[in-house]
Amino acid sequence: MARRFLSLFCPDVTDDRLTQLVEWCDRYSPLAAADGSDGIILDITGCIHLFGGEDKLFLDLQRRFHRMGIQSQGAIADTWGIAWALARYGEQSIVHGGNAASALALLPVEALRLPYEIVLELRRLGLSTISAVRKIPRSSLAARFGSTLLWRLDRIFQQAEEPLTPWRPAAPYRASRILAEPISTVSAVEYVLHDLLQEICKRLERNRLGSRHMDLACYRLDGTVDRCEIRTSKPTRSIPHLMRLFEGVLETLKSGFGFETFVLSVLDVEALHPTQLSLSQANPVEDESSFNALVDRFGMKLGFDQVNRIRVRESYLPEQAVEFRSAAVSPIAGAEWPAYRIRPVRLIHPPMSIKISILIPGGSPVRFFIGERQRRIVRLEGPERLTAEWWRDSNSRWGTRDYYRIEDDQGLRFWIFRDSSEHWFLHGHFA
Amino acid sequence: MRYAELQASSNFSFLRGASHPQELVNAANEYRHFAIALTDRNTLSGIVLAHSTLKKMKELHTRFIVGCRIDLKNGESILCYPKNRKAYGNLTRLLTLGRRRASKGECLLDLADVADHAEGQHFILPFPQVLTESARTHIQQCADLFQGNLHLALTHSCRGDDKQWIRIVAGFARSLAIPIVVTNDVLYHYPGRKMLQDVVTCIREKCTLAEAGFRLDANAERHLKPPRIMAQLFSEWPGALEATIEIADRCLFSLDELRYEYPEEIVTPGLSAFEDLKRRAFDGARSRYPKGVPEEFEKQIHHELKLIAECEYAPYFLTVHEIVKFAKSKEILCQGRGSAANSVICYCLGITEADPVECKLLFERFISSARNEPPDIDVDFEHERREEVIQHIYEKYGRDRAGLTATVVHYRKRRVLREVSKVLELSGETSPERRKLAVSLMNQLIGFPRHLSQHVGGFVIARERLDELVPIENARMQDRTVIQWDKDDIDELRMMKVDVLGLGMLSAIRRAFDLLKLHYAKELTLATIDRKDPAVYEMLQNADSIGVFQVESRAQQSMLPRLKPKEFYDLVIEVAIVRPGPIQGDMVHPYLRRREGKDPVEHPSPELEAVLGKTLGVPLFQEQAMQVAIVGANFTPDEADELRRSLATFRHVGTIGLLEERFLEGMRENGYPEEFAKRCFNQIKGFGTYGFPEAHAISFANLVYVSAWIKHHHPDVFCAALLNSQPMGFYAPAQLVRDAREHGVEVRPIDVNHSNWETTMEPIENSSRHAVRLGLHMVSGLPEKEARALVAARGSGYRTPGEIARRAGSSRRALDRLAQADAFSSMTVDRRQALWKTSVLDGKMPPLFASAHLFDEPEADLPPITGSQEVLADYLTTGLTLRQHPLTFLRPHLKARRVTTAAELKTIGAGKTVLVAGLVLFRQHPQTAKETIFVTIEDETGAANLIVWKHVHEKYHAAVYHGKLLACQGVVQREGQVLHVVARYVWDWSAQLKDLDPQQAAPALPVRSRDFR
Repeated sequence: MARRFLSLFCPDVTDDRLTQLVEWCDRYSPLAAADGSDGIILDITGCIHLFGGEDKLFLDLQRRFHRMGIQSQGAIADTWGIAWALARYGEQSIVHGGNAASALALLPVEALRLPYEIVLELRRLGLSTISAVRKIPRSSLAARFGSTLLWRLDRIFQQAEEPLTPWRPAAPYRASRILAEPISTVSAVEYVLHDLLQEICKRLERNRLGSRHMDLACYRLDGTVDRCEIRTSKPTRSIPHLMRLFEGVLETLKSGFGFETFVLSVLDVEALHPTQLSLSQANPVEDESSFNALVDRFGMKLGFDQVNRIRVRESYLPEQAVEFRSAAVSPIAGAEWPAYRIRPVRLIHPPMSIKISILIPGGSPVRFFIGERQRRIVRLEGPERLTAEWWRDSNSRWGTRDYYRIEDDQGLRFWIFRDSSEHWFLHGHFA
Repeated sequence: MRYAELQASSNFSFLRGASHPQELVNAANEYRHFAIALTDRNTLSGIVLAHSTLKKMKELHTRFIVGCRIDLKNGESILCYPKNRKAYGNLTRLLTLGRRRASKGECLLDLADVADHAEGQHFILPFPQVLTESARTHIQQCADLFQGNLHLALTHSCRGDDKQWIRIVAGFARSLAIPIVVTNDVLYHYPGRKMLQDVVTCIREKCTLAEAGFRLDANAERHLKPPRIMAQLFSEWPGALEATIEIADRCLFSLDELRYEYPEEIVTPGLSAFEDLKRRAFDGARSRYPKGVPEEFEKQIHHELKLIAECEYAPYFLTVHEIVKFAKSKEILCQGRGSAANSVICYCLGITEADPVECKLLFERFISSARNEPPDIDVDFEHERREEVIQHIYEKYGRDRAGLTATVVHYRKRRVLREVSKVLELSGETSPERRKLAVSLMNQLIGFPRHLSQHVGGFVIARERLDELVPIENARMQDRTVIQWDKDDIDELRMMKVDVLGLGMLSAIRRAFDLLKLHYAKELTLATIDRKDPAVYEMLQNADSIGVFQVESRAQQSMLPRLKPKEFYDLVIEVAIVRPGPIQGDMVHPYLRRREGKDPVEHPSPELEAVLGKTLGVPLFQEQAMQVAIVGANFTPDEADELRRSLATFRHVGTIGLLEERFLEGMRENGYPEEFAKRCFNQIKGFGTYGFPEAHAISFANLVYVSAWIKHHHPDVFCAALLNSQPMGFYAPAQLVRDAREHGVEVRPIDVNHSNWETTMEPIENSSRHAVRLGLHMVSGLPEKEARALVAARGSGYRTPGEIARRAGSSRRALDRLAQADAFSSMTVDRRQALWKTSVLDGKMPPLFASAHLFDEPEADLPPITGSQEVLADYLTTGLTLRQHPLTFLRPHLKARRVTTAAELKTIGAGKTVLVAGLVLFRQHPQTAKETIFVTIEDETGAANLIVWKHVHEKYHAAVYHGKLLACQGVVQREGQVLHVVARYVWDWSAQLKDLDPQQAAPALPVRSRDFR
């Protein structure tokens, strides 16, 4: 039986939309694929009767596209090449075997889907239509344009076959189970899931990879699909950990008439090298991984944007020098802090206004007060002068600050500063 | 308290320092620093500015010390201060060494190199912020190498633990027996520049301020501090403070010690430079006037010689003469211009060609200008052969004695806007305050040096080693070396340079002379053409000047019929008047009205009449403007020169306002009306940047006349010479060919059997004239080598394309280009057939493969080519067509839309509204009329000029700027013979050109919208 191809030309859709449309075209034929960036190709051989004929199928498709607000043009023909050419350069039509040659004759050479240089060359020679090219002896064409042009000509006139690769790309790690009987309880699903995880994690381990994103597709009897996915902050292939994460989401599945097929895919992998297990009890490696597991569980429960890590930010101003980053973002090494810029263990925020007594104007402070309590300064180092980060919108109100490290008569150490209007503040304690 | 700042970087440490050298030394003088050293990174570019700024100071407290921070390959640095002239030479040689081995802008040195050039230097090691292992090693190595001439710097940066850290570093220095000295590692002259310093740091690091982090300084302490503050900070270290003075007292080298000397070999052995010049001048005069030198002329020679002797300029003239002599020996056309070029001596030496007596040059001018500025002679050479002259200079004097002057490229508004916006992350939401801050930062950054570039051709040649006067670095161009100083620095130090420039018109004239000799047996030189031919002037009066030097632009073309040049000096004025200077200063109209007798010629005073009498009371030349300042406003020559420079060099901030006040006051004192004074100053302002000195104008006018003469008498020669000298001038080959054909020249198409590489001339039967045969150089994409091979193997001609492939070994690509350019017509093979045939030929392949298909190939049934396709293909491959104009094919269509042709336009009265359409020849945005764009369009009947005012081109921006075929509705405007259409509406009809070629690529059909109701 002759094969039948439907080519759709829809130039105005984005790449993402095109992908969606291809998936959507599943309804007409499982053999659907994006055709370049501006069209879709469907192998509709054997699917036609489901719609009561090619014209009905075609009309149905166009109606639906029209309703979705998508401008498109299509053609049905015996080969992919003819359908492609007619959809773009010819009349919207359904063409059968013998009619193809005449429908193609007056189309421009671009309809042969040739590389740009060949089209240009043909046009320079005045060979602008398919019929003009066909008048030239094949040997002369071969001498000038190599095999590409002849191959394209043959292809369009059905002398060479071209396979079609369907749209759904296989995930790199994918496992499936088709059950004899549909199941609908969570515990039954868990059982299947565990089985699938074992298969996949073994393969991940062999390739020293860990998953960061998994997707479980559960196919119901009625042909609809329910999905659940999990993400982790670090690559993992620990089955108990993954099971725990799935536990929270499996409950959201709606089994309906029951699931008959399960597909587990790993959508994102990262390198995860095997680590030496240590015999001692306090295992730092394990500690870290259990810490990561904790972060993941918090993340799955609260959302990863709610869980933060702390890291150093490059700023001389103490209140700017730390920032919070979402735990989902893999930790990047923070800046290295210049060792000579000593910062207190505890920062008081906001800085506490204090009184100072000074012996000589412009000189160093000798006493300071916290509330009513007076402290005598016995040691002092500084100043460390820090100018405001003038480019920030919310400028600090202290202007240029002079910081001093001081020690009082009881051996307590403080970090105080004077702002540009000569007010004094306590900003931190040293250990 | 005495203190000398020994570590200061200016903005010549690109994107590090945030103050100009002038600002730093000014501030140091104000604070009464004992001395200040400029220590820019691996460069001495800023030292002349700093030195001369201090020299001009009224109250001088601070001595300038030449220094340099040498950044080594291993990331460590050392500061170097030459103690005497010899050490300075060592330093410049060290920097030359590092620069010459690196690519442009970089410097590769290690400590061993510094040690090799250490004689006479004093060194300071910058204060280390952390004592890493490599820093310790570096300090130790320096201690071993430079003991006795080395200090270690202590710098207080308010980092918190300064007291303790300084003690640690000082302790380390003591352990190595290195004495210590205080510096402040200055980056800006006052703390307010910290923000700008942050900005330039970000530009350097290519990041935003928010991302910059620790790359910025924590505070604004790196400014120049008064000695009192420095003393407070280092009260614990009085010895280290005193050391600044000790070092300053040791480094006594001053730039005043540099003595520039001319190369020796220019002088004839046995004579002094002056005697030699005198001899050569009189020899020259005798050959200029074989019948006897006129008395006035001889008097002038003596006059000038006296002055030259006074100023010791003789070697300079000899240097220029040597270069010109070389060019002439190689038959390279050249001609001098510049302020010193209007001397009779230059005329005698053959540096210039226009007789100053004939031009009624005011001899006094050369002398007065020479008194207050070093002589300046620029020499133009044929642009294609200038490199020969340059390489000759390098060869004759050596790279260590000759180098090109640098040009400091400054930050300009547009770039500043882009960079600062990026660094500050400006966006639409930026608050007005921040926007204001950003603008003030941008204004500070404008005028900062950005990098050094090579001057177009200013050579400095020294007697001894040039690299002991100034560091020499590599330019971006291969085989070019550039010194670290620019033109102003050179002037300041009274070093002299010769400008070796390239001029396309000289190449064209050289070619025209060669063709005239070959085909018309006429031997001409720049000097021998008679400058009084009325027919030539008549041609110019009619604005028939396409291709003529300087006067072919739109503005010049419209000026010619108004100025009506009748004699040579009128051309001088023509050249000078259509310049932004005179236009901006509104001098053109007064001049024309006076010339036409519409306004009386008046002079506000006899003094000014002496200056301006020759140009009817209106200043047209640069030196006239300066003379007005001297005579009218009591400027000293030095001040007038300062005025010129402050206007010419990029925004010497603040000085212009002061000079303007000074000028107006001076005019008032001399009793000139205020309004007149203001107008004069505006005129002078215009000249600063764009004015021509008279000698320039004369030299250029000479080329105007020579090229016009050739165009008038030999349009065929003129056309061929211009085509062979492309790219040059204003017009594309298409217009040149069109113009030639309009002047009755037969132009023949490119043909593999007739064309050479260059465009040539062929005799026409029964005619004294020649036809122009377009050369293979017109075929775009055809390599010269292949074309020459084709010509060489041609013999008695080719019969088929296959023969070319076999005999000349032409590549497939070359044959294709030729076929596409329709160069096979003498074989009666049309373009398409030729393409078909050549597409299987390849002379580069072994014959067996290439000819496999040749003989048994069946005929191909190719569709015939249409006329419009031919025209389009001509344009695509050669940029011009000898067939019909493309618009011929569109004409029926245009007629239907009632489009007026360019020819019809001439008969239409002013004020009428017309619709015109044509191919865009060019667009112009004159600097003098920023709001307006001039567009010239062309149809099959001629060219039409459009004036597009601002409100119109803003509205039709895309069409005006990018359209290839424009249609325009507007009002006809007439000024004498000159015709414009003032645009009201502009449309881009370029798409119609594509319609000419039905074969052009087919787009996929537009999707038709359908309705499924």
